[in-house]
Amino acid sequence: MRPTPPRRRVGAALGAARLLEAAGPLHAPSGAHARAAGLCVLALGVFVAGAASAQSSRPAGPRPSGAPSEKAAKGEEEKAPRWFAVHAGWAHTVTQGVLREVTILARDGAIAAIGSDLDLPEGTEVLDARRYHVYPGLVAFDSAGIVGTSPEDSTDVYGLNLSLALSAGITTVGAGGTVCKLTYGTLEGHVLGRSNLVRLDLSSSASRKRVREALEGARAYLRRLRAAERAKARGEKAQAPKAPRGKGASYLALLRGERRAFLRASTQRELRFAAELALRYGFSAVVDGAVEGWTVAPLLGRAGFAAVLSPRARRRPDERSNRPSGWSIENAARLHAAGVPLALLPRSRGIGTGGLAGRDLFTLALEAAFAVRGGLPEEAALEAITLGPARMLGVADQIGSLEVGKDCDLVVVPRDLLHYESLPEWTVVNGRVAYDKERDTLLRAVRSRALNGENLDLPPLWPRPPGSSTQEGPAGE
Amino acid sequence: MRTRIACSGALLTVLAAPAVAGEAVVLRVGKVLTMNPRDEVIDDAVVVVRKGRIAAVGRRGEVREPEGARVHERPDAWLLPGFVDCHNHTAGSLRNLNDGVWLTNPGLRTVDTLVPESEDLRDALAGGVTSVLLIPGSGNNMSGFGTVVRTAGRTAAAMVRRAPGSLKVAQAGNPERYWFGVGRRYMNWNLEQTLRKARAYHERWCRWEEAVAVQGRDAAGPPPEKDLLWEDFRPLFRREIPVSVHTQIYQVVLETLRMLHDRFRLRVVLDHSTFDAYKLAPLVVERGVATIVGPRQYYFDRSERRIVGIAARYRAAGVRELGLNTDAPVVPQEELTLQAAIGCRLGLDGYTALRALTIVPARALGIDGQVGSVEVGKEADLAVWTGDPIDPREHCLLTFSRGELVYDAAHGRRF
Repeated sequence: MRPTPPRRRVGAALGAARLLEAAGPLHAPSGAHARAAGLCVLALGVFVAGAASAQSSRPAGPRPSGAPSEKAAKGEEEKAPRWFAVHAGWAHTVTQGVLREVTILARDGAIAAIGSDLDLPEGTEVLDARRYHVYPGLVAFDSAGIVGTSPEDSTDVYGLNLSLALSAGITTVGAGGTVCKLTYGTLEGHVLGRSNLVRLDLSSSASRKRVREALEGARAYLRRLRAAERAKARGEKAQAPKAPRGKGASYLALLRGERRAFLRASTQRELRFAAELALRYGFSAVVDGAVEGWTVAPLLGRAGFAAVLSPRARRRPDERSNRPSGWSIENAARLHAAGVPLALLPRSRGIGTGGLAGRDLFTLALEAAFAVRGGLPEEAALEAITLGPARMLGVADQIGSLEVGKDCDLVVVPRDLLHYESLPEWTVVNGRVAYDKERDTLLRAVRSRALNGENLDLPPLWPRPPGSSTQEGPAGE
Repeated sequence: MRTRIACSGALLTVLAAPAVAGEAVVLRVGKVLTMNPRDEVIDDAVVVVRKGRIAAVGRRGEVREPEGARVHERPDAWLLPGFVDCHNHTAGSLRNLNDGVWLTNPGLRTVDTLVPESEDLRDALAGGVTSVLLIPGSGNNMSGFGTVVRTAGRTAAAMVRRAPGSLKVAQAGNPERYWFGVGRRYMNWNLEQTLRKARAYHERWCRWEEAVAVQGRDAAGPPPEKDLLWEDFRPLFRREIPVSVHTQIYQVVLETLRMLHDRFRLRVVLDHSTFDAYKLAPLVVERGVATIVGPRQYYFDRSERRIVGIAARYRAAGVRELGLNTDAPVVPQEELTLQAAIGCRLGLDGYTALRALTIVPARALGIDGQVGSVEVGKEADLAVWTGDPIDPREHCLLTFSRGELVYDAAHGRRF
């Protein structure tokens, strides 16, 4: 990697200074808490659904109300809350439709209120997006190369790929078994959770047999357990069976509905096997691939599957099968119609600067647009890059929609998100501006907001003026 | 059915199949983007097709619709010319992509490799793409002659618009992997050497033909010997067909302009034109050379840590003849419109992007007399869309090739 150019460091420093400045006085006026609590009451009145999700299980997480922090409870000096607000022209909440001209207020990174005419606490950092559309930050169910392999130990919080993902409006990614926030410039709050999915390997005949036998083992244990319980109830002497450990315990959790399976299946045959297995043993699964999902959509719906798919994943029809096969642009739409929740991804789960756009996470929103091309309703497409993957990753109580109590993760775009010209102007993570198109060098020159459409013209010819190069005379003439 | 027909290469004239003489077709649509020189956009429009050609275009009520015509009524749809891609490898069999015998293989032709009605071509039609330049791969410095083809057509002969369609040259990049590896200096020397031989052949024939014209056949003496290695270069040096150049990166494009345009005075199509080559835009403007950007649409400028939308930059610098390509299968042929979407996402304007898929590549290939715009007299290669074709949410409803309906989304969506 090249060293960071000096201008970047200056930029970052400026950004930090601006944020500090915006954070305002460290000690908020005494009225602030009361006002905030009042706002919350108001907001909860409007957003009933928000109340249910206001409980954050994250110990270090933000607090939606003005309740005293743990530190305060321990008698330490209380830190002033960090307020952040966005005036949104259009707030696309995902769960509550589109709200016109509202303010989203966040306290310590969590949405505290959404409404018009909110009284903003002193020192609130305000983002004026009244001419813009505000969406929840995008969620990539899976990713490669954006966060570190062991994120809390190895993510580069100023890394190029992380910035690229933010510039694409992505605020949360799945990576291996970890769910990570793209917390620009800090590791605070970087890891959001660990995946609770049980990976099933159905890739080969042998592995399918192993899975089937393990599930059978778990089911047999449950039967023995119930028999022992019944015997006990009858007053007979019965010994409880030995509980399975390790992998066996995971399979048991599947059958008990405590955990969900994760498996890869793309063809009709693979999908059918997986769905029938799930129906037989009574577990639910997130299926990755699902290229031919449209051919067995009702079955996948019945099995309670959720699908992670790429709308343009190509597969030629299999002429050896007497069933419909191959890829279809209508895949996402057909699965949605059959009640299968979706998470959309591009074919490549990385992000890069190779220049071949439209293949990786740099254009995640366009992937949703392609699903709409195939007939998926726009709202469902939006959900499939926000709340849908958040649910599958088990973090939907914290992210995925604009609701009071959820984290203040936003993407601000000049027009509807799925439009091809909609490049994010700001991306907010945990109530902090993590990406600002005008401040970051990456895409600053594209339809610059500061220059108001003025052309940032070509740099002077480099490395040499080639005008004289044509004076060598036509060869051989 | 997969049919492979090796066209006879002895005759290098245009292998024009008879035009489709079918019934008249009337298309009533919400909007026609004619892409004509006046940039006319006609709302609530009618297009009349007769004998495979466009017979009338105009506002509804102002155009006489022939009786008994097959009518397609799509009042909300947009109609555009079928798209043209200057860089395709999927209209022929991909296993014949590169014949890496020598570093330069001047006499080879892609017309030998056409595969009509393939899955790839049917997908192309579903993406509204009706004409492509099938070119050999860039594994060699010079890999022979491409073919301008229709993506529709039941036989190879019906597909061919023009053979030879262009000379394919690859400057730098892939040919560097040839044998033990060759560098750009050698390739430039080698390319120039080969072209000089070709030109010498052409000039020998020109001298003889002139003698025939001036002194008569008897006095002119025997004709020079025909050589298949160089025969296809004659239309190239007559500027009837272009040289499409796999060229990208500043120094390489600079040499393309200097060697192929300035010294050999060929009709150059800068194919790719990517990485930092946009910095040469003033030279491109000066020469009026067609610049076809793709499959990469942006360049990561490390010195400035920024993403440069390449097409937008060429446009901003005044390049008018700006096209977009897919290099299918690098980007699937039907995703030509996605190349436009990415170009626009990174700063290009929508109308320029649509020109870049229609009239500009048609002109670059020299087929703008037949296709590339919705104008009376041109072949009825048309596509009807649910809306703005650049928007990935919209899709192609109907595609016509010479007035014949060759894709109908209602009979099975392909894309």
